[in-house]
Amino acid sequence: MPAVKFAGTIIELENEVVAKVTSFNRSVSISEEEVTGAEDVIPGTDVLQQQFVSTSVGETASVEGIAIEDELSGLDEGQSQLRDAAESGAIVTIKHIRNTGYGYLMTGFFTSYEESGEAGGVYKFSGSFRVNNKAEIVPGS
Amino acid sequence: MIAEELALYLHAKGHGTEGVDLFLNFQPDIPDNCITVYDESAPVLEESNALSVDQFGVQVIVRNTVGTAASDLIMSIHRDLAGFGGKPFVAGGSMVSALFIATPPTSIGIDDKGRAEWTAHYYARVESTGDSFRN
Repeated sequence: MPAVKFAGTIIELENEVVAKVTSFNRSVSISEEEVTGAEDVIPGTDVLQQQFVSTSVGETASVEGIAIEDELSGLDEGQSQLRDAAESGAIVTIKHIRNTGYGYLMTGFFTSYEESGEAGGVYKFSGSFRVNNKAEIVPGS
Repeated sequence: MIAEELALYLHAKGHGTEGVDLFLNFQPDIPDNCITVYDESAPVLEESNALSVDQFGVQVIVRNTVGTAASDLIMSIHRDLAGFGGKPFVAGGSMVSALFIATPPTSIGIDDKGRAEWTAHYYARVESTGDSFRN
């Protein structure tokens, strides 16, 4: 199977395409609890073999891109919705679709949003998103 | 590439006349006093691999029999180029989102006929259209 290129990736927020996305990251973290007991010894030794169980799973996503803005119409509609969702803390849905057509529909809220610019470059934006629910997207769905 | 449109912009700003004392990608031996604009390579923007944007390099060379005239002219050109962006160089041209200074005007000495030459390099961040795969 071929590697999946980033080009052609589509990020939608509430069904509005967010323009000029340069980076997308989805991260799953698992919390664990140690449950090692006195009986968990390595056979033939007096050394404990640590035992853990997973206790919770958390998921976040982050998106970065180049800000685009028109003198007349203002900020790109998708980027504008992303900013508004972050500034209001609203529960929103994000679609992440790779160029193969596969991806996820995620529901949650933004935990951070940043706009930045510098003299030697163009304005950029980034946002971090807490995923509370997600559903898989398959081509044609 | 973008040198052609930048040359037209310099023409429009009154810095020279194309084919008379303003040339594209080739510096003729005459006239002595002229401006030449070259396309050249530029660093690749990371986002160019996914977004419809490219970065092009452009070099401006000013030649004049009088050294101070060459430096004055290229500084005048530099003032019209530094910070350019958010529009095309010419109506209907490629959208230049930003023009970055690669090297500001500097002397490169005299040529074999004793004419002073000054040069400056720029990177143009240019939006692309009609891409098959990039957004």
